[in-house]
Amino acid sequence: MGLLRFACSNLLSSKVRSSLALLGLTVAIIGMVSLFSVVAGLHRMTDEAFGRLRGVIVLQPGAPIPLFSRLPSAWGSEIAEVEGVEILCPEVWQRANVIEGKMVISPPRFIFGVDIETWNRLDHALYRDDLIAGRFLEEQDRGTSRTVISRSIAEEFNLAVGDRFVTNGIELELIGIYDTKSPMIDLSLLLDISRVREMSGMGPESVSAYYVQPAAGRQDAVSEAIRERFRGRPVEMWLPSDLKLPGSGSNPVESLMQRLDGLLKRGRFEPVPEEAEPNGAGSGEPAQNGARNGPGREQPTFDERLRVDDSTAVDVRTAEEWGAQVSGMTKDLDYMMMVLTGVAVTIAVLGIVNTMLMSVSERIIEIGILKANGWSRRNVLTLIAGESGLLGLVGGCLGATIGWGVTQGINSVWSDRIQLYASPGLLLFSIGFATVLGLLSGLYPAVWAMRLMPMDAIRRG
Amino acid sequence: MDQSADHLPACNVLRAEGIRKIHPRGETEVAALRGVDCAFVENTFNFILGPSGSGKSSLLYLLGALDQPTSGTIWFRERALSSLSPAECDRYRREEVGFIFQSFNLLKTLTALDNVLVPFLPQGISRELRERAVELLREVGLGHRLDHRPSQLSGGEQQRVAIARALLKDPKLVLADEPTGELDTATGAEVFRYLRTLHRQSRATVIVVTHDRRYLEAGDRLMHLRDGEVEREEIL
Repeated sequence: MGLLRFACSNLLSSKVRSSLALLGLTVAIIGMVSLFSVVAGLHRMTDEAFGRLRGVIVLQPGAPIPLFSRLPSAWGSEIAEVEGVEILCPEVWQRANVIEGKMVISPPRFIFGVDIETWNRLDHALYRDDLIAGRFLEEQDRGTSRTVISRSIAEEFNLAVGDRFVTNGIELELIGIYDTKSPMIDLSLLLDISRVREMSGMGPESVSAYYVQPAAGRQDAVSEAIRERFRGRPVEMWLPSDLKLPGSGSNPVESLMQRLDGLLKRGRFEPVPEEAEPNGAGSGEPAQNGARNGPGREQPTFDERLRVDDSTAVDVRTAEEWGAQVSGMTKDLDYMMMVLTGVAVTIAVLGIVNTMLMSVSERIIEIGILKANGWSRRNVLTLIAGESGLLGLVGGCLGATIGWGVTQGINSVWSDRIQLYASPGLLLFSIGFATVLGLLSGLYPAVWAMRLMPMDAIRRG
Repeated sequence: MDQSADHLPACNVLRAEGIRKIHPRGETEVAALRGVDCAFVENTFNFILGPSGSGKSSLLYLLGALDQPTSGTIWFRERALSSLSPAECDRYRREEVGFIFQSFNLLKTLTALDNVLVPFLPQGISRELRERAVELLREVGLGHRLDHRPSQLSGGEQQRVAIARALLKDPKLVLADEPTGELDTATGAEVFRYLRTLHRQSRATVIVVTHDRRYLEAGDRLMHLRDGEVEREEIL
């Protein structure tokens, strides 16, 4: 009979109380594992997704993704002249708002206008190298509505190679299906760039972004050279208010806010008058005219938004920078997860402290007897803290195991939407964290008990 | 009886000087002991006799360092218990004192054998210690009840387990607080018989608190307490 067995027998002697404390801690650890696996999964997806980019992407400064970027087509020849640039692929992006009559909300779907000739010359081409059915876009597909889509889109809309389907009001013909295995990038319908220009209304003078294949081992040097090339030029920063929907001359968020403003001021919900679209731009087109911000609104004009400084007029991103950008975007998510976990853990700690206090109170005579039989203060402390530590360890193991199971379940049910990742490190940390938590929770009752004189304890009982 | 500590014989294992113990009871205070001086000679079997509320149990707890006196000093050999650090006090209880309670005070989740071994659980149980515990339980007639829990034992059996527990550490002092208080006469006599036998074997100093005169012939000395003071002492 060792101290450990004694601690176990004490916990087992009050099964209901111990089970409740265990339940509280287990639920908290399940929550912790699940919440942090969301963040870890996001980071992992990001690493996997952008780790596949061998080249760099050139976009409008500040644009979070190519969809919201717009660059002059004329800059393409300048980028191509940069030393180390092997292949330059112009891209045009548009959001797929409606597929087969179904509004696309989440996950979002994008129409990616590919320059077929240059894309097929890339050493490593995303999507093209991930084809699982049919064929990729070829020269014969220029100007057509033939498309290559992801497996997740095909499954969502029950499409097979050869099928025809309607996206944003245009009938497309499915010729190939790809699967990158990353929900973060398996979002695109690939079409010839000229067809996407027609669909989005983006003229030949603009592109969304450029994909650059640099010479081997020169990715960083090429990135820097492109930035240098455009350093000192007028910079047009991307702003969230640049968001427009096709066929609409105004920003939908802006319009909604104006309508709400009108409702509050005049008591009625009035439509906002459509304004002339400056150049028939589609989604992601930067504002070209300050007037579209609405009369009386103190929005920066186009001239105000043009600023000349020592910055560069283009944003050049490598895979690492994409990853860092997403990490930056998820930092707030990390904090939120920590707060939520903190709440759950606090409840669990209070549960354990309560359990151990009740346990110590109920066993106060027992503690007096142990001290009367020569148990030292440290022995009593070790026993009680050990019992709560045991609760923590078991709760941690249960929570980590169940939490891991939950992430696996979620991953299998929504495999094309989310990938949670409960890493071995996270699971081990959860177990260690729960054990330390249990130990610390038991310290207060343990210290209280160890300080009692034996007869004080026996009399209190 | 001469109650002056200065004149106590040199072979006293335990002596108390001017012990006072006051228990707070709400806003009032109850004096359990009002200046007790006494001494206990090594390897003797002593009784403390007195009516309820005379302070005999309070004195026993103080002698065993289970409680602290309000004032006065208790000497174990040449060391004042009040000068002991908490760790030394724990060691005193662990190594020098075996305590037997009126209500047995066994741990309900443990078997008879484990209850006997309880003082040594934190240090780990050696095979020799376990064998000694089994031997002690056999000596008190519980060789067949080693794996029984307290709820499966009679009052007399529980008290015999408590006696074995007190003696396992081979203490210099065995302090028993009304060990037959919850037992019938026959069982009480049996418990005293074991206690006396084990005392002869261990040569510990035994101090038994009781208000029952039936077992007094088993002892060497008797101290009468009344109203928290030593009334008189007798050699039996």
